[in-house]
Amino acid sequence: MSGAYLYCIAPAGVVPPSGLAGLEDAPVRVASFGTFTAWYSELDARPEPSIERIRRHNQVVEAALTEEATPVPARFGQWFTAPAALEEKLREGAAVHEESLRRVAGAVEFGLRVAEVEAPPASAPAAVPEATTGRAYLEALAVRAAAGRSRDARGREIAARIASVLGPVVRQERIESAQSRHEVVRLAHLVARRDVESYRAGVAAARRRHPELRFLLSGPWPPYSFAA
Amino acid sequence: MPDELTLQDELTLVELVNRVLDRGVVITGEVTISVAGVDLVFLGLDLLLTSVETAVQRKQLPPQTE
Repeated sequence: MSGAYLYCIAPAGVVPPSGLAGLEDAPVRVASFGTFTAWYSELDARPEPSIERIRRHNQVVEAALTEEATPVPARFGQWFTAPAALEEKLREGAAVHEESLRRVAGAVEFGLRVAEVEAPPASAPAAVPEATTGRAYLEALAVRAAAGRSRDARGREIAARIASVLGPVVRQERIESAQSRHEVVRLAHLVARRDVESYRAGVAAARRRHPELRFLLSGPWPPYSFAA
Repeated sequence: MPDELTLQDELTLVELVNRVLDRGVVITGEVTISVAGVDLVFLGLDLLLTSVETAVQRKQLPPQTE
């Protein structure tokens, strides 16, 4: 018996284009729940991640992203033992999924990574020393934690500066501290389709205003970062 | 120029992989893998961890990539 692999939740009436193939080239099916649908494929086993499967998963989700509709993407690996199990689980959470669809309706996601052209000098050890006294170990941990808080604060500061330039075109923002020396913050922005050009212009303005920063913009994406 | 295009493609792949593996709604309660704040890039079936740091070291963050 086949299991069911979930790609996304879509508004009612949004169906896969004819011939759309999902993972393992399985056809993409639709389960209807009145106010929303679920796009899934029947697979013999839970798929393991690979670049090809990740691309294919996103291709299906992007097929549900139209001028009129925005899906709620599922994370890779949402596999159910049977289509009936998928339907039961989604029906249980119907109110949550309806709210998620409302939250992302009419919008797309952009990713914005911000790096500093001149990286600040490292102020913390790269790793806590292994062979040391307990006091030295705790002191090293404290220094690293302080450096992390400093970086988080810097990231929030930069995010606030960018937000002041972008203005209200960003419906919702997700901020994530970066883990590398050059990258200072990662932002995910939910932007209404009608505001995409204004958003791009805003990012261009932020670049001009902040030559000390480097911006890496990606998108538009389906709203993975705002799915939950 | 080809090197810049390759790096842009790689950065787009990093963005894609991070979104598909680390974001999106979780229904079953199981996730394949999640490593907060660290980029995940698969090459074939091997898992490699990289970061913007690596991209910078290999040169050239592209000029204002879009």
